[in-house]
Order: sequence, then C-alpha cells, then structure tokens
Amino acid sequence: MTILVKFKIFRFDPSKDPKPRFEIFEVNAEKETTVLDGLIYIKEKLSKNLSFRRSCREGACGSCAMRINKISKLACKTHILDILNNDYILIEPLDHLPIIKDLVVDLEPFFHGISCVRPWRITNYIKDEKKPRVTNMNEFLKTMEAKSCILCAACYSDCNVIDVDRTFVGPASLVKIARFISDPWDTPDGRLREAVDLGLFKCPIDQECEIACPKGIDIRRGIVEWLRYKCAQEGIGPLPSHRRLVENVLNTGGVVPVQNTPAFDIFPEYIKEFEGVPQSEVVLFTGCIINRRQQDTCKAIIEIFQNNRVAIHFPKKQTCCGSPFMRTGQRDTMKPFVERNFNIFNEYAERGIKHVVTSCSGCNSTFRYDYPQLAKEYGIQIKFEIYDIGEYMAKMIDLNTKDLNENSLKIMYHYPCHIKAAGLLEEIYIELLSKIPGLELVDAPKSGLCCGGGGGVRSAYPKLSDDLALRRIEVAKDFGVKGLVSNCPFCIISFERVLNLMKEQDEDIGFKIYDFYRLFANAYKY
Amino acid sequence: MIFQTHDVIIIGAGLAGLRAAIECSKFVDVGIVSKVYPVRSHTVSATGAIHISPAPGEDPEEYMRETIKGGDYLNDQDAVEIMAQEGFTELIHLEDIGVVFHRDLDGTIIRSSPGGMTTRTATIVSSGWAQELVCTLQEQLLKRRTTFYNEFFITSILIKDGVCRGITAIDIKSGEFYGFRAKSVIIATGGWGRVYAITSNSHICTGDGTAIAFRAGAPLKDMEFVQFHPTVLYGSGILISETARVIGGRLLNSNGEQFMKKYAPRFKEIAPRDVVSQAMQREIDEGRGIEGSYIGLDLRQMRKRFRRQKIPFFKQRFDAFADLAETYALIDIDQEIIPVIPGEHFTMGGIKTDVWGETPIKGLYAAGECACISVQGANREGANALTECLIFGRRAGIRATEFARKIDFLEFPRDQAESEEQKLVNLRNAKGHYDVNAIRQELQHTMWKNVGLFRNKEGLETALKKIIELKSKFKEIDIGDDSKIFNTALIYALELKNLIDLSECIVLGALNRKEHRGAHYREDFPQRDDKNWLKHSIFNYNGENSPILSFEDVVITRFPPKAREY
Ligand SMILES: Cc1cc2nc3c(=O)[nH]c(=O)nc-3n(C[C@H](O)[C@H](O)[C@H](O)COP(=O)(O)OP(=O)(O)OC[C@H]3O[C@@H](n4cnc5c(N)ncnc54)[C@H](O)[C@@H]3O)c2cc1C
Ligand code: SF4
Ligand code: SF4
Ligand code: FES
Repeated sequence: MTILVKFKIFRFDPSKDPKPRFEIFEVNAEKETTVLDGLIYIKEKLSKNLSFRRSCREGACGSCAMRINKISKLACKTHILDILNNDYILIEPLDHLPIIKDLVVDLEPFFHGISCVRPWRITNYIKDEKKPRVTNMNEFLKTMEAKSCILCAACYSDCNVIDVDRTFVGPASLVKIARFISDPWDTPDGRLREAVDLGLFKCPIDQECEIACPKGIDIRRGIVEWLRYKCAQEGIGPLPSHRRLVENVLNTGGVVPVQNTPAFDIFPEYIKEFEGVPQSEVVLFTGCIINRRQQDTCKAIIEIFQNNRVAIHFPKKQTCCGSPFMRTGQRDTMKPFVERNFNIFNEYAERGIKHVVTSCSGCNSTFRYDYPQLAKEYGIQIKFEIYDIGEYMAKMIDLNTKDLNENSLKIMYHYPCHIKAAGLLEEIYIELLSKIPGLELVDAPKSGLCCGGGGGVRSAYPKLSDDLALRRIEVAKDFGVKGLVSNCPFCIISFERVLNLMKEQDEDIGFKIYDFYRLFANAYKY
Repeated sequence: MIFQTHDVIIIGAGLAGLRAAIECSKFVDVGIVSKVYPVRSHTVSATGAIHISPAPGEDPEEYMRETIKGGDYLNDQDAVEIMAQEGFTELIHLEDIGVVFHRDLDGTIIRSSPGGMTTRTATIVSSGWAQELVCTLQEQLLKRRTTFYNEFFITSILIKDGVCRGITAIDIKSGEFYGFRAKSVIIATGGWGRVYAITSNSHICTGDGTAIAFRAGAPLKDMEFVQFHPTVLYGSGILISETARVIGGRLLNSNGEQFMKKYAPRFKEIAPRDVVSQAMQREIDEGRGIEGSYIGLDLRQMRKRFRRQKIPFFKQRFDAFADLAETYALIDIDQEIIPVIPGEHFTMGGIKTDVWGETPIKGLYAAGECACISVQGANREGANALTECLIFGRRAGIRATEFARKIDFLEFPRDQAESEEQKLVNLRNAKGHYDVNAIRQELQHTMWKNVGLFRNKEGLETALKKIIELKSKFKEIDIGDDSKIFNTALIYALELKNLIDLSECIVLGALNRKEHRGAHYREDFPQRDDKNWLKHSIFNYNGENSPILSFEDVVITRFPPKAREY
C-alpha cells in the first residue's frame, strides 16, 4: 500500500535566503519507507539543493538526527507511516544548535560539551602485556549502556534546561560521565565534582531526552539519578538545599511548610457522604504539598469521589513519599518512608481495600517505580495496587459524566513529567477533560515542556525553575490559550509562583493556572 | 585558498585513520581530515568483531592457514603473518584505553570463530560494537589535543617530483577551499561499496581516497575482488551480521531446505562468505528463491535456545538482530524468517602498499579498507577487516611519522592546488544536462547486474561500455546547487567521479582475470587457475584512457595453494 505524504521541510541557506522558510514536498511512502528515504527521494528528484546529513542509514552513526513532528529522532529509524497524524510531516533541524543550512546544524557546541568532561579513561591498573584481564561482564552493564550512545545530539535538541540555560552541559555529556564513572577500570577522581559543576543538579528529570534517545538509554533513572546517588555516596551531593528537604521532613513531617490548616486535620479518616453501596473504596494518599498547601485540591478530590460513589479511607499516619530524595540521589534516606507508607497500605489491603490512589503525580511515580525496588531490598511485601486519581477515574470506575456542567474555557493540558514517568498516557487526562461540556482543549506543541518544578531544581536553582515555568507559559500563550491545567501540585506551585512574581511587578498577563481536580470538581457544581 | 600545515595529514577518521593518528601524535603534529565527524565514519556500523591471533605462546599457524585458504591463496603471506603476530598487542592496548571485550562466564574474553574458520581462538567482540572502537580512539586523540578537520572533503593529493606534498580539501560547512601542506599523508578513507546498487555499506563509502590517490599516480591492486556478504536485508541492504549464522542461524530456500549442506557439507552456513553467497545466488538463479528473489535466514528457534544464557553477549546480539529485522524488514525474528540476499560488503582491492602502508609514492601511505596490502586475498574472512585497520593503521602511522621526522617541508605545489580550486569552482557551477543522481544509479545498477557475484565476458564488456559512456556524461553534469554552504549536491558529484573511476578498474580487472578465485567468479572460467592467475592485478592511471594493467607475484611463504573445500 502506497500513500502520498506531504513533507513540510525547514529551508534556509544563509547565503541566499533573507530568512528561513518552509517548503512542502510530496513523497510516496510504503510501510517500510523511512523519513530518510523520503528526504533522499526529495533530494534526488525534487530539490537538489536540499541539505541534510546521512551516513549509515541503519541507526548506527547518529548523522541523521533532526526534529520530526517536533520531536528529535533519527530520520533513518523513523517510518513515515508510523508518525502520520497530520496533514504533513514537519521536518526541522535539531534545536539549540546554530543552523548551517536547511536541516544541517553546527554540532560544535554539542561536541564541545562532550570534550569538556575529560572523555577518556584514566586507567586504574597496570596492564599485563601478556594477558587480558579476567573480569565479570556484569560489572560493565552500566558502562555498556552508556557506551551505546552514538552522539546523535537528539537529546541535546530536546532538553528543556538547555533551552533556557546554555551553561548546562546536556544529557549526552552526563551519559559520557556515567560511562567513565561506572567503568570499574577508570579512575573516577574528580569526575563527580565536574558533573555537579556542569549542571548535574539542574536537570528536572522530565525525561525528554530519554524519549528522544534512539538507543533507549535510561537517562533519567539510569544516568542522572544514578550519578546523583553516586554523589550522595561520595559526599559530593546533594546540594545543601536538597539536604534541607530531608531535614524538613524529619523535623516537620513534610517537605514544604504548612500553609493553612492541613488537609489531615480538616477531613475525617473515612469519607462517604452518599447513600447506598459505594462502587468502590480507596485509600487516599495526598502527599505533602496537597496536605500542607493545596487543601482545596484535597477537597476537590473528595467531591469528585463522592459524586462517583467512591468511599475514601484517609489514613493520617501516611508520610512524605520521599520522591524529592530519590530524585536528588538521597536513596539511602528512604527506608522509614517506604516502611511507614507501604505498611499502612498493606494493612488496608488485608482488610480488603486494595486500591491506593495518589493525588500527586510525583508520589505516584515514586510508588510505582522506586518503592517496589526499595521494598524488595527492605523485605516489605506489596499487597495493594497503586493508581493515579485521574487514571482511577478513567479506568477503574464508571465515571459520572451526566452531572458535569458546562464550562466554556479554552485551555491547554500540561502533561506532568511524573505522570509520564508513571507510564500514564497524556490521552487519559485529555479525554477526562473533554468530558466537561464546553471545555476547549488546545493541543500542546510538544508534550514535554517543563514546569521547572521537578528533580530538586525548584529548591536548588530557583531562577532556572522560574525560567522554565515562564517559558512553558509563553508557549501556551503563543497558542492563544489563557490557561494551563495540570494534575501535579509541583507544576501548580511553579506556575503560580512566576505568575505571582509578574503580578508583583505589575505585569499581570491575564493567564491562569488550573488544578485538574478543582476544575473537574467544579464542573459537578456549577 | 586557506593554508594549513601539519607534519602528517591523515585522511579519514575511521578505525584505520584513528589508529594511525595515535601513533603519529606521539611524535609529530598531525591533522586529521574527514568528510564526516569521526563517530559517523562507516566503521561505527560494524558489529565490532575483531580477529585476534592466539595469545603469545599459542600457535598462530591455524589462523594464518584459514585466512589464506579463505582468501583463495591470493593473500600475501608475509602480511598475513604480521597480522597474526601483532593482533594480541592491539587487544591489550585497546582494552587499556577503554574498549571492553565481551567476557565469558569465567571472566575470560569470549572467543568464537567467524565463517570459514575452525579456530575457536579467534574472534573477540567489543561490547559497544565497533562504534566503541572509534569513540575510544578518538577520545585518546582528544586527550592529546590532536587537530581534527571534520566535514572537510579532500579533492586531491598533491605530488611533485615523486614526493607527496600535501592535499587539497573543501570545508563542506563553509565551502572554503583549503591547501594542506604536509611531509607525509596517510589515506584511510575506507571502501567503495556504493559502487553497487545493493550494499551493506554506508552512503559515504565511495572510495574517495583510493580514487584520488589513483589519479595522483598511486597504483591500485586487485580491484576485481569485491566481497558479497550472504546476509543483507532484502531491499535495504542492511547487514545481518555473520554472528547470526555462527550461533546457529540457518539459510533456507523456497522448499524450506537447508541448502548449504549441499554446497559446503562440513561448514554449511558458516563457510566463507564467497562460498555462501555464491550458493545463495545459485539457489535464487535456479528458481529456489523465496518469492523468486530471496533466501530465508531462520533465527526462530535461537532465542529459545539461548534464553538461559547468562552472558550479556548473547542477549545483546539477539536484541540487535531483532531490532534491525523489526525496524528495516518489519518482521519478528522469533516468528518469521528474515528475508536476505547476498549484497556488496567489502572491497578487498585498493591502493597498493607494502606491509608498512607505504605506497610507491614517497611520503604517501594508506591503510584500512582503502588499501590493499594484501592480507585479505580474494575473499576476506569475517572479522579480519578491523584487525587489518588496527594493525596496518598503526604501521602506516609509524612509517609516516618516521618519514616526517626525517625530512623538511618541501615546497608546496601552489599551482596544482590553485588549478584544483578552479576545477571545483567550475564544478559547483556546472549546469550541464545530466543528473548526478541518475548517472550514479545507472552505474550502480550496471555494476550490480554485470559485475556482481557471477561474471562473464559479455556482461563485463557491457558494463565497461556503460562506464565509459557515464564517464563522458559526467563531463556535462548539472549540480543543481551553486551554494557554497553545506553543498551536498557538490559532494555527491565529487563522490560520483570517484565511484566511476573505481568501477572502471573493477570491471577491467574482472574482464582480464579468466578464472574463479574467491569472490571473483567467471562463469566462462569457473575454475581456479594457479598456473596463469596466481598473481595480483595492478592498475595504473592513464589519464582519460583506460587504466593500464600489469601483474605482480603473490608472496607465498609457508602455505602453498591447495584445493579449497568446506
Ligand atoms: C555493516 C558492516 C559490518 C561490518 N562488521 C565488521 C566486523 O564485525 N568485523 C570486521 O572486522 N569488519 C567488519 N566490517 C568491515 C569494516 O567495518 C570496514 O572494513 C572498516 O570499518 C573500514 O574502516 P576504515 O577505517 O578503513 O574506513 P571507514 O571507517 O570507512 O572510514 C573512512 C573515513 O574516511 C573519511 N573519508 C572518506 N572519504 C573522504 C574524503 N573524500 N575526504 C575526507 N575524508 C574522507 C570518512 O569520513 C571516514 O572517516 C563491517 C562492514 C560493514 C559494512
Ligand atoms: S531530563 Fe529533561 S532536563 Fe534533564 S537532561 Fe533530560 S531533557 Fe534535559
Ligand atoms: S544519549 Fe541518546 S539521544 Fe543523546 S546523543 Fe546519545 S544516543 Fe543520542
Ligand atoms: S544515517 Fe546513521 S543514524 Fe541515520
């Protein structure tokens, strides 16, 4: 089956064109036709002066990385028909690098970032000229993963931090550093310190790089968090502000200070305000922020569940999930949190209430991915199931949509990185929102724009965090929307903070941040 | 024109070029010129299997015998002996600087044998593919602050009074023309697989250095020997590595028969590449190809068999086969057979050098796939290419350094360089009526059809006529892009010129050699003929006319030619 596909290609020859333009070409595609095949066809048959790089055409050399429908990919590994969801396929050069011509960018800044991490092994043994060393390959698993990087720069192009802060060295350089630090035959002297200086703690761990990476390198957990953990073990990290987060929890029971009466003190331990049999019962885990600062969100969640005949158990002994510590390398502080929370959930599970729902996406991804590993190490069994509340609404209950009232808002959904990290698709939330009559949802240009709130960046680099949040808002504004809706309390804090800062400087831009649950609960009321 | 000066200039940043640079950078100032960033060189797509002769104390005899038998006795045996002796030091050196080779459960390096070999002491595999080799060598050069000229395309080698004086190149990014003055020059520009319509090689494998050296007066050797790898994906030409067969993958025809039993009763699928490829093509030609046109590579039972393997090597390789087959043939290797055909893979011929990489021109050296030493003979054994790059790259580096330290800079032939620049400006503005791409495709299809696995007089003559026609068409090409900036249309045209000249040598050599030896199979002369043809073909440039052919004896030391059976 052949389909005629339009390629919309970025064109710019600085020696000829006053400014960049886009040109549209038509290409015949079959199911095995790659974007690179398409480009080669265009160059051969339609436009001889189109420039792009290519070499191996089998995903091995990294030449052909470019932005395809806004995400950086290898053209030779991307099948045209797999990404056809629009009138055309949009092809642009990699981002964050100076454009030389058409799809060709100047890679020097990227390679400079690689050369500045001392990318060579400083061997820590004396070689035996007569015999190769005997070693266990499993010691090299991390090194092997890091070595699989082909230096294509896709991650560099999609990195959110580089977009606002060019002093950040970028994901591929961190991969390179990890390649050496994980190498049992390398002398790691000073490498971790260099990593910190080059911005290891600037990354909000939004995993855009990982989505772009054609080699499937686990950059977020396997590289960035792993390096941070190494820093903690060596006493080089985390940064003082990250250490303070742990102290906060140990001293006050939560990562953020209490504002207003905590949700724990407002709502009872069992909530069922409707008549008759519930359609299900859940254990609610709010997380520090919602308990201590966003009590309205907690109220909204309760209202949503009541409107859906879901009974809530709200254990007050729950404690911080520890996500900020995991994200900043303080894995070794996790035990008390894991024990306390999972023991509570297990108790409920033994009583037959097996569904734990979390309202904070950070807690959710931590419970889902970090806890099981840690629990195994600590010998704790897991008898329950974890759900994000939105996920629970969409998949586990018969959602009451008939009582939803109209709300004629034009907004954009902000897809939180922790929801992504929990393996939950953006579509779940978009679909839920679209149940609210009158709500107009504008597609995000690219899912991975960052609020700047994750990975400990908020506390360690507040300016960077603000810049990221601001950029996200600017992008939404460019799409003509007046508001962003998010289901992560970190995003809400970050966005509200920059809007408030602007207001203080009399720069009210008339932009609003909506909490997903408050928006939804309100639809049941008015 | 912009001028640069280095003691040694190395053209090419693949494995051979980088290995040479490591040697040079110890003593002299070296500049590395490459048309792509080093990590984009063709070497990075290799699977990273390297043939390393047995450890010191063990007898390399068997490895040599099999390499030579695999090469159908056209190998120069003194060179093979060097390859057998020096491999081990390379291994230790590579591991020391950062390459890690796959280990067995007992912690020792995994050694297996490629096709055509029985020595189970031979091949080692880097855990990060050959990409790891390139990366690691480049890292060492970064550490030494070696100068790289990335994305510079060389256009000529400057020779005056029989001594190499430097090169000219164009900076692809800016279109600026450069003259590089050097005391010695090493060519390491890789193979020319892109002469054929179906090849496992990267798009950039156009043999530029070989063609340019040829036109500058360096003789070429054994050009008619082109290896066809048995298993490239039907359609795209992407390689499924020999490992797939070494670990037990079977080749099936349309009747589901494991036909290799018939052609190589002992070795079956892992006979040398020329033998397997010729057998496959025969099956297809005789009507037993699947859907008339390809052979099935069956790996369906393999994963099950290796499931319990704790060695990372097996998992890594399986995942790689699965990924390639899924991405480029859209099939699941656990359920379906992989459609494969024999496709161009390696060029045994190249710039004639001695065992130190020296060409007959003073100050000019060559190493890697662009050169012919000749260690590979009439058919290369699997995993011997990277070994060649390492060992002879190093040797060329040593000699080029010695030469550069011995002499002073000679006068740079400015007039030659300037006339090169003018030629280039003219070419950039060429507005003739032939399309570069159309000529290239015509060339590739002609070569594929007439100068492939099976050759005969008639086909070869047709091909030669065609090439001469294309040569004259090339004089009236249309570039279609007169921009100075990243003008890939211009680069493709320069590459095309090189492909045409090399094709002419291949065809001439094949037409001339009336026998079947290794990868060269004349249907009209299907036997090996040691009496008349146990000799190398040598090609000398002759301006506008066809190259001049002559012959040279094969160096035979310990292994007299024998019948070749597998
Ligand atoms: C798919 C595949 C798998 C393989 N697997 C193996 C294996 O497992 N084991 C093995 O032993 N062999 C293998 N081979 C063969 C082996 O990879 C090659 O023979 C070897 O990599 C050649 O290396 P090289 O350094 O000579 O050239 P290349 O790696 O091709 O490098 C050529 C260099 O020259 C530069 N260059 C070329 N033209 C110009 C110009 N005009 N101006 C400036 N620079 C130029 C290029 O930029 C490049 O840097 C494989 C080959 C293929 C195709
Ligand atoms: S996770 Fe995001 S910010 Fe961090 S390196 Fe990757 S893309 Fe950049
Ligand atoms: S980490 Fe992945 S995306 Fe980044 S350069 Fe390496 S291979 Fe490319
Ligand atoms: S061309 Fe090599 S990765 Fe796409």
